Amino acid sequence: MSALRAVRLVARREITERWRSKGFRIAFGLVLLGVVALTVAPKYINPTTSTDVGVVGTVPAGFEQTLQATASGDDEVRASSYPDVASGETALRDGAIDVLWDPTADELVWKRDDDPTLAARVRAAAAQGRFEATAEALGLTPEQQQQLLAPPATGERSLEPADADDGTRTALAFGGTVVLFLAISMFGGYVLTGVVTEKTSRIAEVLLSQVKPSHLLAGKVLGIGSLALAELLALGVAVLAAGQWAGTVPVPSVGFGAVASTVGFFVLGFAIYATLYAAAGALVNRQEEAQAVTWPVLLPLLAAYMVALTTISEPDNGVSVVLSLFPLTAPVQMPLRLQLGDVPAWQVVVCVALSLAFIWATIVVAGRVYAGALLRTGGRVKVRDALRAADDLGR
Amino acid sequence: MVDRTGLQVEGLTKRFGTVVALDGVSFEVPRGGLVGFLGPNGSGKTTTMRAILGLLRPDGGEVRWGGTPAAEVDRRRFGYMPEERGLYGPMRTLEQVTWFAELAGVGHREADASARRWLGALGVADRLTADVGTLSHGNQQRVQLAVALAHGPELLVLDEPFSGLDPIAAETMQQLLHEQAAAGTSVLFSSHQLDMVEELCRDVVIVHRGRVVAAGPVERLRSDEPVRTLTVTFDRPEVTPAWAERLPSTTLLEATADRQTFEVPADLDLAAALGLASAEASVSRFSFEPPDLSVVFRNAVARSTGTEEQAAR
Repeated sequence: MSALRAVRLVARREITERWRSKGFRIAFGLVLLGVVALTVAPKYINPTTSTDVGVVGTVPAGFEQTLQATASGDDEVRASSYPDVASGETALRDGAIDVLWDPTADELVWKRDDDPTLAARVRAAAAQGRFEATAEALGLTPEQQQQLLAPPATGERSLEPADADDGTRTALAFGGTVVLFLAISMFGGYVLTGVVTEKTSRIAEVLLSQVKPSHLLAGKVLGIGSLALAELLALGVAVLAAGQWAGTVPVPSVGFGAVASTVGFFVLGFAIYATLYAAAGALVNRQEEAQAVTWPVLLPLLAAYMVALTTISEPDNGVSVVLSLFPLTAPVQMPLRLQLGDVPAWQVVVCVALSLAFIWATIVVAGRVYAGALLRTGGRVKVRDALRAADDLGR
Repeated sequence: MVDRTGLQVEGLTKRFGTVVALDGVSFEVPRGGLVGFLGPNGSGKTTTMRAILGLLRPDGGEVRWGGTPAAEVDRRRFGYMPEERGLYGPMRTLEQVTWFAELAGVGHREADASARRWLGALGVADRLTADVGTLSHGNQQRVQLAVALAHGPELLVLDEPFSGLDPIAAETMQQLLHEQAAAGTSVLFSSHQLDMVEELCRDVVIVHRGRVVAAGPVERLRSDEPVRTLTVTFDRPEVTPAWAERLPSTTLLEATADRQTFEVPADLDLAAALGLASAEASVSRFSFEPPDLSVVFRNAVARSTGTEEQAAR
């Protein structure tokens, strides 16, 4: 039987048996729902804000327009009139308005804390109204008023091109980091528990009487890996579709890159971590011991994940650059940097080359540990003993 | 003449650190041969079996199949049932047996048919779609055997196939091994149940401390022993066995009301013995037979221990 056939059979079993598990499918469904919800959410939790200003007596002409002119972004300004101070204060207490302006007493009333910016804007609008009234009393024509008030023509320029999608990009990059971290540790965990099960229940002995350990390992990693890849692709498609529908993710410009780099770096990261997990699993003798060997393997990934927040605020800082090149942390750091800034091409090339070399070394060394430890029972196997025992296997 | 060369184990040695696990183990299982593999715990049975299956590389010696060193291809035609059973609990019975057969190189359709056939023959036909983990202990044992058989092996290596079986299941297992051997499969199995081995096999191999201490047809091993079992039945009860004290180097093994069993030298003067017994009371049955396999086993192990101690001195 060809090596390929053995690998394929092992991989097929991993996929079908994993998918058969109801827990697995439910978990997938929940993750899918969660990701779609997070993608669509900004549409609903970020509606346009409004500023409500109450005025005792009639609202002066042009007051609302002047306030609106000084509003930022989506802020919508509404000015409403109250017959007296008491009714205005009631509205203020109820939260219907943010501030009450009493032109007669020339006083601003707050519910509790004052908002200096809003105060300045209201004063400016009030001043504008008074200025117009005074100008009219002095007999200036509207044209003369306009001339008097015309602002200087101030031009603008930015040193760097504006990125309208900056926020989305950051959100997607961070989301991608979370997904990568979870996917690698979760599916890596499946490899680990699978290996531990085969060892502790002695299935390994029956398996190895027919299959080489390297084929068993390859089949397991490829099987679980392709399942993970399919799940990630499904999540990617769901994010793009939901983002497009809700208008929260500009699809080709930002979305494609995010999904592609997440999926691509998952492949590199999973190849390394799954192989390490398999070797770690082969060392233990009981399912309960598995936790102890998981930690050292997971540590670099966890470190990369924790530095992610620093990377987001400053993608090109030294630590982030180094971590994005080191194979054990690159799967989390590099896609993040790629999303957030301009990564020099040489860094991407170095990162991928190092990762591939590391994958090769991991397969050789961890594969040996796996082969040497799988049939050794009765106590935790030391890595050194496992490496030595790899030659003891008669195939 | 048909070539009956099957499994040849030649001078296997294996050392684990300072422990010598195998110290030149050699024996053969011809095609269609049914060989019992005996030895006290820790004598090297499992290590030998692992070496045969390629799970362990011996330090020296060779495993041959059909006259040539056993290769990967040959080992696809070996079926193995380890002492500690190993199956995927959450996998369906039929799928599991089929999958293992495919892993051994059988095509899917053929593997499926074979798995159904064996599970049917072993009486698990009604649990094909149940997860193996939900089956009873005995049924899991049957599934494990089906895994060893489904790819149609030419050599069956079974480590303690009878352990944990109820008498009915044990009988089924005996019959199955017999049929397999009759159909030309070479069968090597280990067991501690010597009476069953004696009933089932023509040949046995006894190992002790990594060495073969006795091997060959059970009949010959029994008659090669320097002792015999003498059983005398009297036609009245309460005859004391004291009469036998006048026979040379005789040990009383068992005495019931009217029957006495002794271990006696193989060259005992039977006429004299019968004379002594008849003088005591009238004898209704008098039998002189080679000893049981258990005696062969015990003596072989004792002799090997004695030799080692002598060598050490």
